[in-house]
Amino acid sequence: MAELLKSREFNLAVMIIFFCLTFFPYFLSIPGYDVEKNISSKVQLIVGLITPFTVILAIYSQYRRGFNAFNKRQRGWWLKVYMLFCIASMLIFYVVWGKLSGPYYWVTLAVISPLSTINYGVIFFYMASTTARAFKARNLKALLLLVAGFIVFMDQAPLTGLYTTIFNPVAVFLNDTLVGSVTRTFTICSTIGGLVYGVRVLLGLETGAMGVTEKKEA
Amino acid sequence: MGETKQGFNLFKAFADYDRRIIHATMMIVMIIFLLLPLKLPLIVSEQTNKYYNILNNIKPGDKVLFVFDCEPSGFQELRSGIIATMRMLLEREAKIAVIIGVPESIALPGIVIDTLQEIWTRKGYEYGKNYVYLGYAWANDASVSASATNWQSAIRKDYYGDPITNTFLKDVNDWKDWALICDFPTAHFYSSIINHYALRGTPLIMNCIGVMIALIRPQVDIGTVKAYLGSTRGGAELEYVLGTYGPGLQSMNAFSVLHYVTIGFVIIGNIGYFMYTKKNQRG
Repeated sequence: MAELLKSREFNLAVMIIFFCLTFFPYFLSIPGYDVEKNISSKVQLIVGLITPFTVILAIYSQYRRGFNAFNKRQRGWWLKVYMLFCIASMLIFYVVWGKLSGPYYWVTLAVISPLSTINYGVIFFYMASTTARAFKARNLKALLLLVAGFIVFMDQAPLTGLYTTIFNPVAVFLNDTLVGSVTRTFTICSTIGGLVYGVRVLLGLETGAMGVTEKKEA
Repeated sequence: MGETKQGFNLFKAFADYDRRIIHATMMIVMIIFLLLPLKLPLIVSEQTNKYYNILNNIKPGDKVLFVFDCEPSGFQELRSGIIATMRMLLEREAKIAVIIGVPESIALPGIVIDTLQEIWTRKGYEYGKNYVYLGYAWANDASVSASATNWQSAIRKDYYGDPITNTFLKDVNDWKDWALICDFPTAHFYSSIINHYALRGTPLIMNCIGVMIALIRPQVDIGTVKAYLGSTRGGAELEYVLGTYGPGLQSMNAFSVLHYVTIGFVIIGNIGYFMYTKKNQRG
């Protein structure tokens, strides 16, 4: 039985059946068959219920790695200890006093929020110093980049608009054409990539998605 | 020995200044301008005006989903927009359901509610009748999808464990029952809201972090997102339109000056490059 459940053919068959039950009725509009309420919604709810269990695995994994780091006194081991302490505190506060308690909120507001904000805010300094040091007009391409960056930067500064509007049309043009088109290209490419990947999974060419690894022939 | 003592070369200093100088300068300038109580005017962008008009068209009693789709890290960037949007909804007397899309942001609504405590009290907002806190009810794409088609079976209880049938949400069945969704994303969870609500027809507006503006802009162009506030500046612009001085406007002075300082460093670096590095490369 276990062999059957793990087999490539069985997993592929299940995937194809659910794909057909969800995909074709969506376009064919079969009377009395509401795809969203019947199959799609139920399958997605099951996924939603299973996902939280992975959190338990994540906590286990973090503690295992943390204890390893502590035992080997790896660089920054005390940060791992601090992290494990915070995880334990949150769990205890949640289990003992509940999610509406002051201590639980305290960890969120006094530990998680400021630390992650700092983590994010530090990027600003790296971005600023990298911009300042890397933006050099070494050749024509770099010069064009420099000029474009200068215009967008000037336009982004709120005070600029009060004194001059000369940067705005060019900055809007650069954002709407260059940035916009590149973003669209990226989105279209990733969407097509996703579709191709999905088709390959259904054809049994991407077995990794099913958790099945191909046995290499000797 | 063979070394010659060289004097101070300004162009050499410009060419290879230490990055710590930039960090220190930025830090000092930021602190000074954050502490200065200057209230400088702002140019309000077309997008912010559009965002404001959508909120301004909300009628008393309209049901609005207020989605905290942001991690605490990005919350500070969106804080001004979140508070200003909530302020407008409260002033318009909308019925607000606050929902979480990112588990870490579970405590963030409390900060917003505390900031606007005066309006909540003045408008007589009552829990259940005028607003509901649903907590982390949108855990993933599946939960968003399920709530869009059958709200009552997907979300049965609020954050405090009480059934939503005791609240104004008892009348909500699917995506059609929402007058507006205000989303504040720092990651890609917003695509679920677009797929399951906005594409069906629920009006959606966003205040996104700076790096996401390029991703949101095409959605605005095709109409799935009705309008957006870009980062802190968008929030500051909305504050300016509303005539309130909040965290957005407070940070705008530093925001402007830091842009100019960065440009200054770029210019200094280029002077150093042409007057020292390039000359030395030529020999």
